[in-house]
Amino acid sequence: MRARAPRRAATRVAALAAAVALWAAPAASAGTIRVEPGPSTLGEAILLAEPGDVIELPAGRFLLTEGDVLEEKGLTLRGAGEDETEIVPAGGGAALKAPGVTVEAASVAEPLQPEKAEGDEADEDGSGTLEPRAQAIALIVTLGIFLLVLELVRRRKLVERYALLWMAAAAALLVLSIWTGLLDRIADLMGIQEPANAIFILAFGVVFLLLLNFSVVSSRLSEETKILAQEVARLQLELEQEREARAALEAGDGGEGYARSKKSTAPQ
Amino acid sequence: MNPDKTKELRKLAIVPAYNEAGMVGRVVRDIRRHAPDFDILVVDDGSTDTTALHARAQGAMVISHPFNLGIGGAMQSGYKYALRHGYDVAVQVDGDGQHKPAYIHDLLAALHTEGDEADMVCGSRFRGDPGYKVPLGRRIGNLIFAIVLTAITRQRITDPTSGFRMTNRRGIELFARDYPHDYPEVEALLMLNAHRLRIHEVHVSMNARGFGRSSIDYPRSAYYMLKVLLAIFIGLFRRRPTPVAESDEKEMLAKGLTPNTEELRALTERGDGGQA
Repeated sequence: MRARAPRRAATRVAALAAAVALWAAPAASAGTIRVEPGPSTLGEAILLAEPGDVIELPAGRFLLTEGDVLEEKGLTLRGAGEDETEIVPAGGGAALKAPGVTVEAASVAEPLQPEKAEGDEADEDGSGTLEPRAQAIALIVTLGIFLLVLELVRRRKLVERYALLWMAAAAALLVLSIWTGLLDRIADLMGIQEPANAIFILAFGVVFLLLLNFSVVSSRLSEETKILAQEVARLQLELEQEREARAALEAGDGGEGYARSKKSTAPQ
Repeated sequence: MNPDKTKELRKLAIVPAYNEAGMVGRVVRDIRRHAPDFDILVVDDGSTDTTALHARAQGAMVISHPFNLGIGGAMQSGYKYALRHGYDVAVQVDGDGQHKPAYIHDLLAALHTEGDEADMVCGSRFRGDPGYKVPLGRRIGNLIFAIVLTAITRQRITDPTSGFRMTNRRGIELFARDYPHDYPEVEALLMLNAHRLRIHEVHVSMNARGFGRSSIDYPRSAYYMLKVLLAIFIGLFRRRPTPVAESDEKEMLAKGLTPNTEELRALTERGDGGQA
């Protein structure tokens, strides 16, 4: 019995070690992903990687796509040396500078789309979201609307009451297109990231209220029109009756003119 | 034939008609035959055919709307005329021949014997034999409205979509001032109820629509149900003042605005009577 016991213990330890090895082995192999040279291999590797993995890059140039995923998973990119491996960011390349991401033994080239990087800077400044060309177009359009409203009032095609409404709307647009910082601030206040969305929501709300107002106005108009039509029709009947009665009186024929309908109503 | 009391009353039959040239003449003739004590006012609601001519040829007075206002606008036109010209009783008779003028005096008798009990008497198809086969869809829709209205008004209403109705001066005043729009029958009952005017039903039989098919077909009936149910629902949240019965002020106004017509009318009638 005594001899048997240690043997049993030994098998147990061996089994445990095997289990640990089996469990640890795939984890160790998943921690590092080797990338073959190629145009899209780095992006694929990033998508396949587990969070915290190391992606090994051989010598060559690699196009970095999927920067968002890289940042999210906190991966490490390990090259074959700064002079050997070059990473070319497809976008702004901001992911490579993110805190969770490490770049070892590789150089980073200029991003392919530097414009976006500039846009990002402008956003950080908060100095404006509209490009000069878009701003010019917005100015011209809103000025056009403003002048159109004025012209309609001048030609008496628009009552001042509505003119004020539309001019206020045009003026608001004008202010927003000149003072672009205001839109950012409004978006901030509303908790909307994209200022363009803020202007859409505001514009939608204003248009909705305007249309509702016009529905109310047109309901009232149709009610008034109904009353006018009824009155005109009634007056017409009364005018005819009066005419017939007068004619009957003048003819002195006992009111036969008016009473014609009365007589004919007698049972046949 | 009639109780003496009802003879002294001025009574008007309002016949709304929209492109009913084929039927309106017969309707007017039937009213004259069955209810000769009623003046007949055809409201030609912007017809594009010869409805007005046919009505006039049969001796009815005709109000011609310059354009179509819908059945609600047409009925209200009739009530406005009734109010202005001092009528005591007004009955609605559809211009399409669905309502049988033979029942007018049943309605009148009920309005009168009910006396102060009823301000409006409705001809109901469902208090007896409807007289024709009412399509199932309409029957069901009608039943739903009947249940809802009976619950709201706490009066037994079996045919809330019937347009064959007679009302007294109080009803005329109310409807001249305010009458619902598209499918007015159900809402009109609610209005009466909101103003504490009482509704009474009398059995009538009706004809299937005289001309063409029912104006309410399947796609429209869904809209009709929705619209009326919405109107009922909103109506519950609306308070209207009860109108003063026999408003002197209104009558003065009516006379003041149309003195010539009234005077001449009185003169002519007197002259006529004198010579006869």
